[in-house]
Amino acid sequence: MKAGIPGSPDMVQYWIILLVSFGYLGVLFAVAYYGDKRADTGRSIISNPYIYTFSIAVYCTGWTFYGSVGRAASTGVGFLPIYLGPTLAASIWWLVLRKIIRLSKINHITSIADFVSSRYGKSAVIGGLVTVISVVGILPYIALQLKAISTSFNVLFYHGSEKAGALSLGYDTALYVALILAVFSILFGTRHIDVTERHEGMVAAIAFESIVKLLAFSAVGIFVTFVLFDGPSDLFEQAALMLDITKLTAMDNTPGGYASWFALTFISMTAIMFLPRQFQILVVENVNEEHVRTASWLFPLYLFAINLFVLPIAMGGLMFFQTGSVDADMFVLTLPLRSEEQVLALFVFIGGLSAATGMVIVETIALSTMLCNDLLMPVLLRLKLLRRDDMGRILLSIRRGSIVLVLLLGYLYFRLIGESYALVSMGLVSFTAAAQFAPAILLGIYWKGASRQGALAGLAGGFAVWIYTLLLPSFARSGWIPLSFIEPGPFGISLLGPYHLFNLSGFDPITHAVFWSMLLNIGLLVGVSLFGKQEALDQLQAAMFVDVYKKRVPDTEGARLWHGKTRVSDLKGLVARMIGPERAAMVFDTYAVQHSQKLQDDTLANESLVSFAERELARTVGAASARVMISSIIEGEALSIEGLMKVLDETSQVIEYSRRLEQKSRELESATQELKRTNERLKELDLLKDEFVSTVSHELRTPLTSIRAFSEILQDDVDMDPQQRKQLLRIVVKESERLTRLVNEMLDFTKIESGAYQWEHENLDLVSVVHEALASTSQLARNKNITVSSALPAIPVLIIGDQDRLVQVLINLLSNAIKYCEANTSVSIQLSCTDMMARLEVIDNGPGIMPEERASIFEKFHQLRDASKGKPQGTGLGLAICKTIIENHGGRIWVESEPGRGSRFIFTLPLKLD
Amino acid sequence: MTTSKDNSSDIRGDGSQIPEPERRVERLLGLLIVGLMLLNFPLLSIFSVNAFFCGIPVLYFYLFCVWFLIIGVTVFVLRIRPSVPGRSDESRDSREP
Repeated sequence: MKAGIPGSPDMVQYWIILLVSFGYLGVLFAVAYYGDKRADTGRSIISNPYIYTFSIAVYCTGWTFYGSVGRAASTGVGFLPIYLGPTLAASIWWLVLRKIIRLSKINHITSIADFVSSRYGKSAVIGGLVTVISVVGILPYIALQLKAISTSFNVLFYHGSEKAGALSLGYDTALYVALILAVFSILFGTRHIDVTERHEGMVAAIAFESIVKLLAFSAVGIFVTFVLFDGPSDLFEQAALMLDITKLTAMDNTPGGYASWFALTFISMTAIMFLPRQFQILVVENVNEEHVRTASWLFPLYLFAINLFVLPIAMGGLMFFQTGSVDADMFVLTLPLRSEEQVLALFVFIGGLSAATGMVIVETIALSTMLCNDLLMPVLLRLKLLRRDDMGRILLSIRRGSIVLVLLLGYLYFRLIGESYALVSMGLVSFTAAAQFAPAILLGIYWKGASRQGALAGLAGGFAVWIYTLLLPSFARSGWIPLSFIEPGPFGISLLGPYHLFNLSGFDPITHAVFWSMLLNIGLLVGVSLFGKQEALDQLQAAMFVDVYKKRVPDTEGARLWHGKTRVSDLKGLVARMIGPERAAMVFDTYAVQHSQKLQDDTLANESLVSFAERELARTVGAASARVMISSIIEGEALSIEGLMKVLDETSQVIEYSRRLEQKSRELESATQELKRTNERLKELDLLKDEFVSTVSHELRTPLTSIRAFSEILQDDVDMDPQQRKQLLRIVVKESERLTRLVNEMLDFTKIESGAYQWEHENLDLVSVVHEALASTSQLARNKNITVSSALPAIPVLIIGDQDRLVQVLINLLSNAIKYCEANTSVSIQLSCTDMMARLEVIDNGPGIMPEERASIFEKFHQLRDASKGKPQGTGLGLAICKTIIENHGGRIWVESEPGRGSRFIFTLPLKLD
Repeated sequence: MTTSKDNSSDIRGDGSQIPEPERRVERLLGLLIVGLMLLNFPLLSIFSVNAFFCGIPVLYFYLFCVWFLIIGVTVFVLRIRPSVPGRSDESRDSREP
């Protein structure tokens, strides 16, 4: 430790502190004003993920700034779960928070109470309950900020004077602080007559404050670590010598141990999203849900940075000040003051002021919106107390009044119990209250079955436990209720002791309260939802919230809900009363243009316009109030159950049915197409078969006729000349051979077609195949006096295949060629090899093939109609067999021809690979 | 309950615009679970010792390292974005006019 310079500490002048404080608040206001100005001209400065992230850091309040060090000084790592929880929660913001933001944008959500009430059937009761929990639950937290500001002010002011210890609480200072903050919140949050959900200027100011407090805290951290000590190692070394450091560097000293550690992590995970001000900043003030991507890691990084120096400051403070002489919560301020670093101390004070004012401003604005929209408005509307035309102004007054009320209540709580609690303990009481919202919201957006009654029971149960186990004991400890309420328990019954309910021991008060309240909260929410009945509107909202990603943004969501009748002019009037005539006119004009409708004042408004007006109102007064207002001007049955059920049906079942139906009809259509094609093909085949049968019978009959005729002659004419008899017998034999060939061809084809034929796979030389085929057809050629010339390679052309079948193909092609050639001409056969294929051509100079027939000659039963001969020749199977065989060998067969100039049948076969 | 199932299909359903890589959902949930385990009993008790590492108490060193690691993995998972042009424009449309 470097030599401390005790010196004679000067008081920081009163007026300097005030001047700097108000100067700073003035700067804040300028930032906010600039932000609003930019927003009005459409060039938002807060539409930026970094500003968004810094505004989220409103999470770090006077608690973080002053309280963390105090907590660290007594419990070591005990201050950390409050920042580790949000880090863990931020890792799934992309999944959870983004969904909440999407839902809030669609429903024009104005606050967390509005969100919960929207989810559970736009219930005003739930909205009211959430508001009450928020206001009551947050009071300790606001009290904490008042305490932090006033204490830090007094420390700065009275430092070194005799009064230092005695006046460190300063109730008067706190009252002034509360009033000044109320004025500021009103200026930030409710400056405009136009009371919609967003406050761009405020967000800009909060982001600015977050930067200031981070800089201030880091400045004092660096001062302690590197100026008072020689870096962290030196600091820890000295601490190890001077202090009982094991208290601070191990878990043993955290109250409640690991259970408490887990409980704190859990409630801070929920607090980061469901504290009213966090919800306001994270969800309501969010400009673009894409910003969540950056915030998910940058915000934890901010927390990381602001916590880095907590322990060094705490240890430094413990080493410099004797135990108990200075409040550890104020080490941040007293350490620089002790070293007479008054400028630094002033900067730190401003940092603390940033942390505390930021929280108070956002919190009171969020709470006043809730008090106004979700508690007072529904009541006033139901009591029909609001009939004035200019409701915008009334709304504004209600909100301003709420801000003052909340701050004064916070002050009252501080007066009642401020002395008996450290900063962090007060904050944790509020965290536990905010955690009560988590089950209703998280189950609400992922489980359609969570019902209104369930949420109501869960929230009420959890809140009741919170009051009993945390709020009432805090009054008892301050002496407003007899201390025997805590120990042994109310009416002396220890079973009911608020710190050890039903004799559950081993937990510290916070963990104990978290356990019982969550047990009751979740238990009631799930239990009542499972065994109760869900109302129609409740079901509709549940489906919409859970399935928000499954549909396009439902612009006409709930369009058919409003059943009754109302005139366009009434709707316009209602909206105008809320948001002012000019804006109302503008909004309705935009609607008319978008839906290309003409809105005539005295016509009846259609359902979609009514829903539109409801949403427009909801932006200002929240979902629950908007519903009440609309129903007040609708004649007849406002919300029809059948209408609801219809919408529900459509959203869930009908869509499913129609999807299935569509699929079925598509399948049916393609099946019909398939059938049609098959049918046509069958007809064609049938025709071909008829022709074939007649051809074949004709073909069979011709040889049969001659066989029979010659046989009869041989039978009758016994005395026939042996020479003549021999000739007749030769004809009979020849005709029989022809018959056999015909029948064999048909059998072959059926066998190959049906797949029953066993293909041989042997190595063979295509040249020898050609020779074999030439030999077989030589007689045929000679008969017609046709010369067959062949051009074959000198080397073997090796392929893999079935020798007999390939010979059959060639014989077929050659005999066809010979058949169609004029007598005394020539046919040629050519075999060549390209890179991977063998190519064989059979060329004749017959009549040629018409282009339209070139493809179909390879089909079975197809026969060439020879114009000159009138009737088809052959079975019509030869080429079909060839095609099947070649394709079975992996080759291709086709014909090139010019009518009148002969034709060229070509097939290719893959060569054997070496 | 149907929570986890709904969750994944929600993200799949987001594909009315661009299908969200489902892997990302699983990675983030995995990160949350691992983070919760690293920062709680019993793993935490291993580091609850009176010793120093690089001059810093071991428990603090461990907690801040895990903390930093979680942030790093979050960056890694969320920065791999589907390279579809105009995505951010599209979501910006959901802004208030």
